[in-house]
Amino acid sequence: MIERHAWAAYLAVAVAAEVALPFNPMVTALIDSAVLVVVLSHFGWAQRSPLAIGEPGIRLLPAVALLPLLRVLSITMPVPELSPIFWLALAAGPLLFAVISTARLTDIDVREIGIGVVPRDAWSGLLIAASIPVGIVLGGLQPSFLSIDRDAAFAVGLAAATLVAGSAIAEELVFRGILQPLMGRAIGPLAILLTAVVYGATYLGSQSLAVAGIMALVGLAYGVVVARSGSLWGPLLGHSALILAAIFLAPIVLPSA
Amino acid sequence: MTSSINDSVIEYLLGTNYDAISTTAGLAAVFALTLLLLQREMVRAHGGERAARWIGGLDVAVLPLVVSFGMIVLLRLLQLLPE
Repeated sequence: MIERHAWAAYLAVAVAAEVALPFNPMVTALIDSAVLVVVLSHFGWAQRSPLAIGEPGIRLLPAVALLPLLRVLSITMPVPELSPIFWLALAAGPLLFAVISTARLTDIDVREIGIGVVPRDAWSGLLIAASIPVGIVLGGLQPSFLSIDRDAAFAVGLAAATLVAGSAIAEELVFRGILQPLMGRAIGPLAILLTAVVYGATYLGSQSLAVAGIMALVGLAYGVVVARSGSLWGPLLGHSALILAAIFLAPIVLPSA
Repeated sequence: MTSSINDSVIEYLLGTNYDAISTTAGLAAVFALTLLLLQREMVRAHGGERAARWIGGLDVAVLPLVVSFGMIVLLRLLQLLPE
């Protein structure tokens, strides 16, 4: 019984580590490193029992491990001498490998992740369109940390591609692609809400409760659309539009940003 | 405006000496990697029908942490090189 719900405790500790991030990132890294080892060891140890293997709460564990792994990589991978835009790519590369490993391990296919399904509902289109003004608002709330030469087309293109791959694609695959469907097997529709809360918590590092709250709501909207349409493409494109609007459009529309 | 590289991470990395980062957060990651690799070898040596799945679970974090370890070592080596 306890073993079936241990994932919730691990997730709670990982979220607590995110709460500590604005105060002391080193503590976050230490907690997340420990959680990572414990979660994956638990998953391995549970393989001894044939009954536990098919248990949704056990199959969820590798997906739960992605959260502390994301944070450990984001703190240990960046090269201080490089621009922060490249830090995104450095942290996202190994994380995407972990996403693929988790998908294979948990027998979750591209259809269940939502990549193999083309969205045909109006909600996905609406989500993409709505993400642009939300991105501008977020860009106004928190000016960009990225130093991009906006007059150089190549630099802008490279930055945009890095943002889409390192932020939109990586985050959507981790949260809506892997975590939400696997959590859904364990707790049903409540997984959409819980995934959104965890997703919002990862934005506490922005040092803005407003940003974290908005991103939790964005995550909730994305989660609902994925659950309704069965496709991840709406959130993938919506998140890409959001991050690009926040970085490139907000400084134009809102000069204060 | 991203969950991985956010203001707190940037402030920490730019405001802290890399020696301090690599001997705290970096060391924690290396220690985690060591524990996972140790466990991986023990499971592999023991064998059994479920060993592959156990190892598969550990591999979710092993390769990303190996890359992270490589980065930490590389940056430390670059620090040692004369300017």
